[in-house]
Amino acid sequence: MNQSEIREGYFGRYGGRFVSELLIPALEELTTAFKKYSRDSAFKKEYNNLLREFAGRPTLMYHARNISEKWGADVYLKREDLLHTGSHKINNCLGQALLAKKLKKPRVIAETGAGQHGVATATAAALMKLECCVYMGNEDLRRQALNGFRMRLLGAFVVGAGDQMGTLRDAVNEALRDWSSSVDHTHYIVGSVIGPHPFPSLVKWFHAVIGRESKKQIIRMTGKLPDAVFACVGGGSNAMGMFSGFLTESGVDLIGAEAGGTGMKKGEHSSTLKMGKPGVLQGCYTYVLQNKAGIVDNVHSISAGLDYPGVGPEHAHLLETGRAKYVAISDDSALAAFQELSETEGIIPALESSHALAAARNWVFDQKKLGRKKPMIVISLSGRGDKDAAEAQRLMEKQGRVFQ
Amino acid sequence: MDELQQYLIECKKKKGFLFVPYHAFGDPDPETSMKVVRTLFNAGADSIEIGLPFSDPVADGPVLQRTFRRILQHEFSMQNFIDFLSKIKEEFPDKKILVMGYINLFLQFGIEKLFEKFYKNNVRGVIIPDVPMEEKSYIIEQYNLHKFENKISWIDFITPTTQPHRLVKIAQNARGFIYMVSYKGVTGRNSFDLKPISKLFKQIRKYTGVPILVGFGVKTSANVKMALEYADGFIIASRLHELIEQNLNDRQKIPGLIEQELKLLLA
Ligand SMILES: Cc1ncc(COP(=O)(O)O)c(C=O)c1O
Repeated sequence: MNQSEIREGYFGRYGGRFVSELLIPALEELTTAFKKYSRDSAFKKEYNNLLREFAGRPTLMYHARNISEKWGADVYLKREDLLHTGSHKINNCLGQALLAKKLKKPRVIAETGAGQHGVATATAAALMKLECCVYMGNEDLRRQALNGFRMRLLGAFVVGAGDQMGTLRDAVNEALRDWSSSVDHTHYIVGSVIGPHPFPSLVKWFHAVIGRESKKQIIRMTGKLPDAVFACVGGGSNAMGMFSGFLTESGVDLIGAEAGGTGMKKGEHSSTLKMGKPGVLQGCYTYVLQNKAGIVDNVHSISAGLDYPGVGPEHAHLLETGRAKYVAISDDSALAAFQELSETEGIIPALESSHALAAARNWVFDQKKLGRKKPMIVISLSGRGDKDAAEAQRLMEKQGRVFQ
Repeated sequence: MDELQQYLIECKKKKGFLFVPYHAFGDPDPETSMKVVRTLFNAGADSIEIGLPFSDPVADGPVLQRTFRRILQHEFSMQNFIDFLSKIKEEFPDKKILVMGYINLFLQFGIEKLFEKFYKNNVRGVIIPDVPMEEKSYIIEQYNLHKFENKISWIDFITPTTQPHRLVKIAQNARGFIYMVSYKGVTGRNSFDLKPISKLFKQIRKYTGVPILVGFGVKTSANVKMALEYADGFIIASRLHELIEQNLNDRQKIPGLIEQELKLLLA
């Protein structure tokens, strides 16, 4: 398929709009609004003001000297963890809540895995006086209990999704079902670069600020482009935001870290791009972890935000074209990276972001084996680890680690 | 005219309306499932939508979600599904069948190959709730499905949110029948009222001669009466699987209970 034949809403052969006819008018309305407002200087100004004054942008690009020394590389961290609410998710939520206002929808809904997107949505809704309902898998409500409470405190209505084992994917299903009956007055703030068109493009647009800032900052600080950039991939929003700044710089390797879980057997991981195959899940054609017949697998990750059997369609395209590479990082490696950054650098990362750290570490050591001296890299530190503290303590003590 | 439309028009001539129940393949087990199909045809079903289970049925409410979860406790195989269709064909050679399911299962098997096997087994229509009109034409193009145009009708939905320009386009290109979704939402809700959307029926009639079947929320004989005031026929799904769910411990009883329920419904 050549470039000019690619249809709107598609990235190569991936993407599209696989939803019930009921939702099509809302998606068309949203697509039109997105086209209009993404070119509207008043809207952009309003959005950028919110990012600056409310969310705390630009975020720092931090030269992590201790880690750099330890790894023998120049390691820079893009500090999305310092944003209000504690992760990159707020970039997208402020943007979409603003769009909801323009569309005159008084209610917003969202799905959430780790709870960071739910918290960011509840926050934007409180700020903009929107009614808010968040769907969260029951297993995630357990392991990210702090965020469940934060959302309620912010005035959101929180609904458990799936059975006892319910995770992000169950939350997306419930949000889509809610939306098909509430679509007249409700906007669905999809939390990653997943779902039907225009969400993958729209969510990327709101996160593109991560890559734009990073590129400017790293050039200002070092006078050159990094050798590689790293980001974790659940649905892939922080990665798409970061990658978008460097896509046309062919000298910069783009590396996404997926959740390798406890092993590479079915059900043990959520490494969609590594182990999945193309199919349709939750509104788009993309890579999906599924059995031969097309029934979607149950998946696992230590990190609720990565525990998802699908992935954004643009990542599927970047994999296919070879522009980006994707690696699987095990639960244990992520936990080790979580601990390493905390002890070494004084920064407690989210377990999701810990996957990007572990991928970067592996890459640096491989490069050095190949004889490369002191590579320079940027890692998207997509969120802070407070939400994971209780679960990480439980898991680390299980591994025999004693905290005095 | 496509084969399905022809078939449905003939069925309608005989008894004045169309009755097309849905049954998810394998609920609660393959044997009882076959008995349910038999019961549905013997009770006067013109065709049956045989449902494919799916792990992420985003257009379905709690009853069908639980139905699929029940079915998927055993590994699903498309070959078993095709064998089931062929058994139905053997027993009811004059009946045309519909298959309803989410698109991923079609794509994983290979949609062209699947359509061929379906056609051989008397399937004359498919209903795929997560494929709107634009993606449908793209898939037909991409997978070379034009040759099935009149053999297997790919059914379109019209819903209370469908805008006028889309309605015209969908109606003008419709094959088999139009699936009219009665309300905004997922399957199985307990509210059914067609008055708010009565205009849509008139609009559709202006642009197509295919039958209109109403689905979503049909549960009682009052619902059926109302459906037949506006449409050529109706679809019933969740209510039948509710009955199965309530009698999992006494499966022998299920066909009889469904028969009774249908008598009440069609009375
Ligand atoms: C801190 C953090 N990073 C990453 C993710 C994964 O999302 P995405 O892949 O869309 O960036 C999440 C999701 O919950 C998160 O909370």
